[in-house]
Amino acid sequence: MKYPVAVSVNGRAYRREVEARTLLVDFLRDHLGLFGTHVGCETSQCGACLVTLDGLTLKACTRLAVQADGAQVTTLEGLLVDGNLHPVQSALLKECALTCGFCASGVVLAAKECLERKPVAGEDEVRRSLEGVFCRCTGYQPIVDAVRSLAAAPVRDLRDGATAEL
Amino acid sequence: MSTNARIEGESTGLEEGPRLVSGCGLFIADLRPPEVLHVHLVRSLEAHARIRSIETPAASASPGVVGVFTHTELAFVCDPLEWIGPLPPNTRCPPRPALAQWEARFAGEPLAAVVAESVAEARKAAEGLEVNLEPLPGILEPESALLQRVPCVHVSLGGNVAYQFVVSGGDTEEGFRKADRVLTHRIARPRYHPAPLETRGVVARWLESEKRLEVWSSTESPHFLRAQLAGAMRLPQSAVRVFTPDVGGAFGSKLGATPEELVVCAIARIVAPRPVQWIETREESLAFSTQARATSGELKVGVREDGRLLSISYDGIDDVGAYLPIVPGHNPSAEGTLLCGAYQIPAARMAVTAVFTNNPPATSCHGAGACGAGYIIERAMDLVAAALELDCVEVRRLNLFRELPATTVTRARYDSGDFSRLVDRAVERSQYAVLRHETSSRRRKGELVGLGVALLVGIGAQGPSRETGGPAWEAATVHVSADGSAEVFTGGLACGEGHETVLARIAAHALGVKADAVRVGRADTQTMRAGVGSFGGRSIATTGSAVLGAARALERRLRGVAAGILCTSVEYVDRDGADFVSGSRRVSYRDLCLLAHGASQLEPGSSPLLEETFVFEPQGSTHPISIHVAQVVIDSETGEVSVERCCNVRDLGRELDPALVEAQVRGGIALGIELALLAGSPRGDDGQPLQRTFMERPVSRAQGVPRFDISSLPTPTTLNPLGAKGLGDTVTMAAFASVMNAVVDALRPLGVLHVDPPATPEKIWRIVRSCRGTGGA
Ligand code: FES
Ligand code: FES
Repeated sequence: MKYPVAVSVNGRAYRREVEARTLLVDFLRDHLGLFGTHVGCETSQCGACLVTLDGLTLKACTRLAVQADGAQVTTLEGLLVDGNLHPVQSALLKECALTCGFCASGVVLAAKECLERKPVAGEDEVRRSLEGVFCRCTGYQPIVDAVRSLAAAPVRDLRDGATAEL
Repeated sequence: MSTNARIEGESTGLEEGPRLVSGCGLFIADLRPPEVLHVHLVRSLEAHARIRSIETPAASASPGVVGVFTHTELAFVCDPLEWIGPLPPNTRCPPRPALAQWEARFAGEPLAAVVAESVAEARKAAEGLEVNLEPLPGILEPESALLQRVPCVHVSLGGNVAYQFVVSGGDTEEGFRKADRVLTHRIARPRYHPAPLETRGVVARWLESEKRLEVWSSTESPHFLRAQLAGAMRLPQSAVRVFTPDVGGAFGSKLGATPEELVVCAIARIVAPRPVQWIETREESLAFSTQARATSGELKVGVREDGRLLSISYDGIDDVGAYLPIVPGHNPSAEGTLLCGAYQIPAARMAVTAVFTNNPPATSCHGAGACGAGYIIERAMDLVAAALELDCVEVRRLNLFRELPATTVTRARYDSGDFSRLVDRAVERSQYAVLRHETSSRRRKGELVGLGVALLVGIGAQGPSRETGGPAWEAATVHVSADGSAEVFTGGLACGEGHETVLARIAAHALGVKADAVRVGRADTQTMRAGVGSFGGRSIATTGSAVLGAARALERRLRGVAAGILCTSVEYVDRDGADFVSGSRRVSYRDLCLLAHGASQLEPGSSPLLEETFVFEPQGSTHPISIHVAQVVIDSETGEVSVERCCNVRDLGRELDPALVEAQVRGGIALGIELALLAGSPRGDDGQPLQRTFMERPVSRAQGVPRFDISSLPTPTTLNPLGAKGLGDTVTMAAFASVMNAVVDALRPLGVLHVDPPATPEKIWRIVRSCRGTGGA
């Protein structure tokens, strides 16, 4: 039995038919061909599958595709505007906060959410906000530094970097 | 020249950075060739069992299933994986079948493969597979593998020894006799899986009309994989092409060739023309794939009353699991040469027997390789300090090699560096004296605080090949097209370490062009026909030197062409920016490339192909050095250890891109802390894995690690033209050993002399409770 799902992902509307058990992360990857969202654990630990769903940052391996019906989803790819990196992405690059880059989907979205929630987060707060994402290569410090380097940036910039059209 | 690439200095960040940070990386699970079929592997639930039967009809009839394969079907197209070329001395490597034939040798060994249109359908069908196993007694503890009348993991070998080595120098027995004190301790390290964030995966396609196999694998060693797969698939190596997509971390766990890769290739040949894909699940990765080997043994140190070490020995057993992993650079005895670490010890001996057990295959990941000895010697130093009531830094200082170059009694040659300066710098930066003082006063208040130091000498790039037992060289080709754009091809390409950036810069510098004029080709055995791989600490040191050699040779060729065009001889050709000049005459780099390709301006007999290949073979092994100071505090209620401070000073030789090195150093420290406190891959008494997800396998998290104070005191090595020593696992192991030393130091007031890793809350809580319960402090 298949169910219709209509979602807007990164500002583009999609309609697909999926099995009830299809996970949102598999839907994005297998049905929509958006491979920027990764699968690192399948058990809601690693954060590699983070996406934003109606403004909420969550792990796409814990949601069903059908639950996203009617929602607005943003994935890592959606943060680019006219080919320009989002400030969070640029800050991460500047701090050399990525090595293998497999964790980028989790790290970028968690960092962005942290800044939106708490624009001037302290070291501890930033680290707390990264609790749900694993990075196996960098020891987290450059990620924390990248987020903190943006702490003073106006919130609007951060939001609008992603969804200028809204 | 100012516009041209500099070979070192300011970091330009990862070349691949923008692609990865914006989700445009291409990892193995992102490959979706049309018509691709998916493989699900059915694995043994028993650690050791006879395979009575595998009934496939029900699974074959399941929706979406294209085929179900066991050893019998695959035997038509492939043989087991076998070691190619000479085995290292005293080593036995039984063939490893794609799918088990008569016997399953570890819980998780692949028995059958279900191939279906989707992963879900393959998994579902696998439930219908009837596997009939007859459990056999197995060997789960390495110690029992050597007893009389125990089962053999490989009956054909008539024993369970995989390899043995003894590395020794000086007379250890005499050293122990002359010593004022002889200290002994059993020390052990557990097996664990390094758990890169990306699991393994492979895609294969058989092109029947060309009789050619194409393989994409998340591997650290594409050429080695090609050789292994070709051998097992009964194909010439020229008929196998291996590509490496982006690799999401490896840490030694994606090295060599594995049965899963062979299964996928064999099936691809059978179901051709459809391609076949297998992506490892996290459970398969943590529980069943190649792990870091466990090791345990008896440490013995002979020391004079004044703290000078006279003799050290270690007699150990390593657990390699059910099969010896087939990996390049397998050189276990290299570890033995490092037993003396940074210290001038008159006699040392390391003897290791590696045994087969019914556990998953295990190899060198992080410290299980060359740096394992570093942990042993650094524990020994602290045991000595504790026994003589000396400060742990003092004991180390007393025994250091005062001057380098020097050769240890176990014949490790350290060509460059300054141990005393590194120790001084670490003491100064960490404010060691202040920390010591603070530790004592906090102890008086009842806190369990500890300070640990470790000075690690690792192995970066190994060499020469005749001594390392495997190829130590690396090859690189630099090609310049008619428009002047340059490409670098090498077999030792990055696995998520950012090497593309550095290699491009090395080539650009030697060619005298801007870095963005050079691209580094993706790892592909067809464009780079020979190579060894990217593992250990060899990437920049060895691969970078090969790139440098090729680019320099090509630059000489370009000068030669320029000389012809400028009607002069080569020694009068200079560079101005990218251009070639002689006196007032000039030809631009671009024009030169165009003219050369047109061949009209060439000397008769010289090639219009602007391409040079260079093979670099190191004449000795480089030894990166790292000293780490860690402070920990133990919560005596919960047993939880928190690392409060970390200070690391390193000498990795010349650092071509300090920012990238620092990223790796920080990552290495976080992993070291994880190895000390969290990582172990426990299995139950029946050999069943107890860690199948990240719920059971703890990892380092952002809140679990402090800020790291890192600094560098580099001395270039003379063993390669770049002066780079490589990184290897030196920093990881220094962090690991210092945290273990700090944990023991924190428990010293309770009378504890040693704790084996990992120092999990449960283990520490028990230790604290039993010490206090028996009237300890
Ligand atoms: S894949 Fe969703 S949290 Fe790991
Ligand atoms: S960069 Fe490799 S996991 Fe974060």
